Amino acid sequence: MQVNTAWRLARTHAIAPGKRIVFSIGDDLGLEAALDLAELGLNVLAVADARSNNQNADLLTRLQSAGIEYLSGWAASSVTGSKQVRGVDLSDLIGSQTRSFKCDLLVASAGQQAVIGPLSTAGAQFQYCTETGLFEATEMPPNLFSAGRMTGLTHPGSIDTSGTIAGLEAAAACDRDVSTSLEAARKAAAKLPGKTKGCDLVCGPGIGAGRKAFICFDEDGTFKTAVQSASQGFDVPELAKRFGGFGLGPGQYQVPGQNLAMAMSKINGTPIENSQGTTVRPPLVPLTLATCAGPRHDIHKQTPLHRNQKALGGIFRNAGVWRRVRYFSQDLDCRPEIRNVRENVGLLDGSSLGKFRIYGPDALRALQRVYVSNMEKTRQGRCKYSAMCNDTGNIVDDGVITRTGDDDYYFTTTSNRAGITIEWFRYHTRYEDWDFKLVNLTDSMGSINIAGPKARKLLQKVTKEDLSNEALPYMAYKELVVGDGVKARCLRLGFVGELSFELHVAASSCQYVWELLWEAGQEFDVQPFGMEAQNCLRAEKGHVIIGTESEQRVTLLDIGMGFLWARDDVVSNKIGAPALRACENQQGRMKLVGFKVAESAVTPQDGDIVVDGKNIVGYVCTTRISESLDCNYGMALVNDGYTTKGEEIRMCQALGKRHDEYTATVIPPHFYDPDSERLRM
Amino acid sequence: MNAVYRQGPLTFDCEVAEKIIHDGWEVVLSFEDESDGPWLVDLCHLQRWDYQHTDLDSQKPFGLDVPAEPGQVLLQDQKLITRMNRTQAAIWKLTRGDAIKTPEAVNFTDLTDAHCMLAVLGQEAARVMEHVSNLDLLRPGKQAPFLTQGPVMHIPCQIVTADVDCVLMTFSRGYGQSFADAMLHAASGCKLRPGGEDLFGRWLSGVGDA
Repeated sequence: MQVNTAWRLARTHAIAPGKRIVFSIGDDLGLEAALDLAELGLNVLAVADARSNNQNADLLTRLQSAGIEYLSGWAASSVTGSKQVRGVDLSDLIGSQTRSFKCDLLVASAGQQAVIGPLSTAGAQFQYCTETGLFEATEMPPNLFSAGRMTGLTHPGSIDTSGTIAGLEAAAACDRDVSTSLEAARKAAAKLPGKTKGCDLVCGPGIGAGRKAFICFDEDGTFKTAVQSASQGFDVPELAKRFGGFGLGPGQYQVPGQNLAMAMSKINGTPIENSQGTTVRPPLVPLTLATCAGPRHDIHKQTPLHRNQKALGGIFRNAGVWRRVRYFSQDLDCRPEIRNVRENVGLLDGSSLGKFRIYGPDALRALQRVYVSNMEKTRQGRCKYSAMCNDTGNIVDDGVITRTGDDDYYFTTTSNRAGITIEWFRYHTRYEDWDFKLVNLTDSMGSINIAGPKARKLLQKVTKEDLSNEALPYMAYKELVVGDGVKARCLRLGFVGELSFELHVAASSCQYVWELLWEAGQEFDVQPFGMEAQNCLRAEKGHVIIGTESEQRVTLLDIGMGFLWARDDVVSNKIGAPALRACENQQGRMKLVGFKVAESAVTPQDGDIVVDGKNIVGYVCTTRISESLDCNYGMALVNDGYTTKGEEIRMCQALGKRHDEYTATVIPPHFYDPDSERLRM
Repeated sequence: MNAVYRQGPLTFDCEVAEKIIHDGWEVVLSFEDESDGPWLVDLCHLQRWDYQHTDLDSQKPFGLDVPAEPGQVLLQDQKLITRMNRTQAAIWKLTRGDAIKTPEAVNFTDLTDAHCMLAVLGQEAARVMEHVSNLDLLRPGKQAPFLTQGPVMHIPCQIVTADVDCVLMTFSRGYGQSFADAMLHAASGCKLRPGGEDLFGRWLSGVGDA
């Protein structure tokens, strides 16, 4: 039993840890515990102390007065008994003398070491100091100061003063003049007890011969394993750690890591002062069992239309932090949903879309910085589609922007980027003294996409506003009143390739507006559609989803969206512009192409690879069955040289060890309604 | 045509004793078997605004003083105003009353629908919060009310420790239902149960400044 355990049983729970007790310890805490248990009336037979010096003289006197036998430079060498301790042999450290005690409890500790884990994770380097018996920092990262038990201090006054010194040193590193206070604190520290001597590796006469001389109690790493490790060439602590698993448990550097370093030094016959412990990695504080036993709550976002979608039979899937409807039937191809959008009208819950307000005198400058397009062209009553790139020219977000007032804009982002959009703006304008404010309205408003050739007729039934093509043309923006007085922002867009109106409505009114549209849409055969149908529809139109048809090897230009880039704008310092300039004429870059598979025994799948002989020359981003072409189609990222329209490319699908190849024909990505007449109808 | 109504982000699965319709919202005033608490009260229908200004110290939105430091909260005229950072404050109207029209000034943004607002009420309020967050919501040296911005059950929240018996939280509306369900489950050991708006009204009427 460890010292603290015996102490806690007696002091906290009033349970006698044993009737006849022997201690084998390595520090003054062990002496204190032995005395305390004896004073509680327990029978402490003997105390073996691995140290030969540095003991607290007062404690030794008290032990003598209590009649407890004290053996300095001794340790437990063997224990007898199986289910219960029957006796303990204590030996001196060179094995010349042994004494046996009949007892039912051995209380053992290996002494103390400095708490260096936090410093080690911060990058400090340590070496064993023979003078103090501690692993001490030989090299500290800049502006890192340590105090207390990290430095081996145990006296409360010394710990307090070391904290004062470390704080003052930190202040001095920040150019504060604290020299007088620092000098006074150092003088005070000099009068206080210094570091408590650490405990050497207790290596009794039996150690190494038996099987259970533990170096690491967490992972049952023994001295014998360390010897085996060294004999097979794993002869330094970091290698032995991997050989025997020493220090891989929660103890890490403390007992296991430091014991291992000392043990390897002994096994190799190398000077202990050259030994270094093993690397400490977070977490420093182990996970508690209580945490593991706790419930795992499924906390996710629901859209304001969640209940409507559920009532209509929506099958939900996780989409980032949101739970969204993927399908409205068990038909995973969603052909009825797709057909209804192409022929009649469908309703999509797009509420997870990021929505933001940006305002202030420098709002336009901020928009110019983060969007690749010329945002000065953003007008009231119009939607402007644009994209954001990162520093390497990869597209990271897209959406529409409209001006809602003087220096006041409303813009959308992809669902996945909504959570970091404000930070993105702030980060990329951090050196500018610009006055603009951002508000995240993502949850504030739901979004209903009314899409299909009958979309206008449906929407017209719930609003008195003029929705004609002249009054509200493609890419227009208008604020409407729907139903009995609900305000809605209407964006005429076309992500799914059909006449579409996107209504952004206050989240609390969203359910009401959906019900209104649903009721009004019955005469137009309105049906809901989910994310999967949307994915098929937009892919036919060649509209990309960021992260699906783009990745870190391709830029905005490579996926055919270079038309968005205001190339001549060198004033706004647009994010990604230097990278786009650098690669705009670069040969050999991957490109996004469309493809169709006329006939194949293999059903193409997302992720299939494009091959040329044995070389991989691209991969399929998205592929589905096209309702309009009645065959498989999709988009692929391919190497330069495989992008010619009409060219046949080979694709390969790996199914376990089987590899099935099929042929596809390169087509433009936006093959459905290439002139976008359906969007402008 | 159906009458306009407004729907909050969450419902509690227990029997309603009394409810009213306020400004289109169905507000539960009390549930059957509310017992002695602690209670989780849905306050999503109360109006909230974001207010941003470069010189925030000089501003008086709705005639209210803005707290001098981030993290400070003032309760004035039955409205609670919290300062989040150098330029941004949040204003929560703590009573139903007549709906306030959002002022024309550009600095206001109505966020009533953006957030879910919950109150944990009762003598065990602080203990309930310890089941769901490691934030120190009763830290010594802080005079209630004060604002803490941090995670509750991993969800970013603004939390106002109104007093030891009342903790108010706002967070993204979409999390409302699953957050409330998880909270009731996590704090079931403290006997946390849904409470009606009347409980919050009673707490508010006992606060001097309100």
